Amino acid sequence: MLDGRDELVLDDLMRDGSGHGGAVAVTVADVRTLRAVQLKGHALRLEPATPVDVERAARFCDEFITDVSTNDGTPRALLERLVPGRYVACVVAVDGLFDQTPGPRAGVPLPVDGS
Amino acid sequence: MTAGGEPGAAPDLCDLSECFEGAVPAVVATAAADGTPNVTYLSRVRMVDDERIALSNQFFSKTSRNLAENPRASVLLVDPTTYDQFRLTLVYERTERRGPLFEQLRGDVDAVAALSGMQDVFKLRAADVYRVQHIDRIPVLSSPPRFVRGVSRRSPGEMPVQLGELSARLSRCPDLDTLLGTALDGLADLLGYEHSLLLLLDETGKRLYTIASRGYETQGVGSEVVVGEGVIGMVAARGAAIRLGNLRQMGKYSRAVRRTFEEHGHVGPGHEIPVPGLPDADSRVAVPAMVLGQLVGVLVVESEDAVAFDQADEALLTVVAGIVASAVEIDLAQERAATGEQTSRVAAPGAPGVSQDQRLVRFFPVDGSVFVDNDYLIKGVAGRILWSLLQQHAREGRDEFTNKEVRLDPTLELPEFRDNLDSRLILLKRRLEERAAPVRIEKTGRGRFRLFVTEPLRLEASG
Repeated sequence: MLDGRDELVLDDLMRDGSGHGGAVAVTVADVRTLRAVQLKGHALRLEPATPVDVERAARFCDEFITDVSTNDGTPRALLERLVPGRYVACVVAVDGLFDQTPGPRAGVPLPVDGS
Repeated sequence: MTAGGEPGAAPDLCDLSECFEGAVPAVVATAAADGTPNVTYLSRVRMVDDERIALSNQFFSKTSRNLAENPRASVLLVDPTTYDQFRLTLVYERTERRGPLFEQLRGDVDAVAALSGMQDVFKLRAADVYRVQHIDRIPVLSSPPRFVRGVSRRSPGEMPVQLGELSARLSRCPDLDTLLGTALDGLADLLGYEHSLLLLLDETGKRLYTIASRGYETQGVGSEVVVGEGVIGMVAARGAAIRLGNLRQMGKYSRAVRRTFEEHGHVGPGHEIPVPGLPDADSRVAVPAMVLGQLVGVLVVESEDAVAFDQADEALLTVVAGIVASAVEIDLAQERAATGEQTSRVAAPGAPGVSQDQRLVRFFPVDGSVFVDNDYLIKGVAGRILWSLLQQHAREGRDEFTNKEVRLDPTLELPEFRDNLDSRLILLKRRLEERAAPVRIEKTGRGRFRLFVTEPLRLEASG
């Protein structure tokens, strides 16, 4: 969660009239290679972040900052400014995966078979 | 100014200038008519005017389809100097496929492509223009760390004064060799550019060769860049400056795109462009040195800091490059206008100070390369000149030469028009000094120079 606008977005997300929550897209990337995948789905529910969620997020942020700092030489103090202030858990049902690595294949569907 | 102006104040586009340097990839989100969102990376965002931005469109198939159904979009920008984040709410207005804005963005994309030799396949398709409806500064928990821009210690008011001083120093230089050294020394001493390279266009117009450098472990004099290849080659080909503010990050982006092309057979593997310069450079500005609309060379400055240079640096370096280009052209014109045969002096055999151990100098006619004791020294036109001089010295004991007779030497294969001979002699002189070769050349007057052979040589032509 970054600011009040995010809360509005989440409110809208759960007010979606489709009956199963609003559409969600999340793009994740390996910062060492920029290989990226976009996940698309729909929100099932919002929950308060548990201590386990928060701890996992903190570990993720630390690894992210270490990777970027090591690979790009960006000072940690700058990267730490990207760390969100608080979290909520959004449970998402994944409907599709897409290659989002920069290049001509960006947007090509990837198999979603749980493998 | 820190991007975003005063904390709490609503930022406007002008406050976000650092975000448009392309140093941190931006992210764009669009949505289809049914509300399905799409999130993807952008290689470049440009400010069009106070209310509009343009996004580079190379592959945007899904984004383009979404915009056709729903013109609303959101972009996340990061200021590379503070890591402040800004979320822009946008409405798509139009797409441009030609014109000044398209050309600007095309230059940006070409620069990224040039980092991994992809300029032939990774091209801008369109510049998509959006009107900015709203800008949110995303709150962060900590204050930005104190960031020192590479050459920021110069205040804007000082720059014209220092530039004037450099111009005055250059105008007092008696010859091109002195001027080249003075230019790069002045860039460092007066303007804070510690790492600089100057490359000149060769006689064929197809390659650039390094004639002077400052701030590197080795001078790299004689290293070459093909026109059109890499950032420096692209500056030469386009006659327009390129400024890159986060080379490590941009190089990674460029390599990621290249890998995708390679995996699907669009380009062959390999072909990283070796560029003379700092191994850990994170910022680079390369500007064309031009005179009367003609390219003479390329001036490059580098820094290990991210986003070390801005538009003012680019402008200032363009002025200096123009002065150097004019000097090169004046030298060339004077050189060609100089007439009159000068006599050559014959050196006394067995001059004092010459050691008795022979050094082996080998010449390969195929590319004009010269090796001393199996160590590469120089190649091309400068290599052929050196070989010709050494042969005359060995055969006739000569040590004084004129540019005119060198120019008339048919073995050098110099072009009749624009032979760059004086520049080649400067390159040769610097290379001999850099490699501590057993031969030196020194200018003795306009159009004259002397060859110093400091150790006995055995000459051998191969192939």
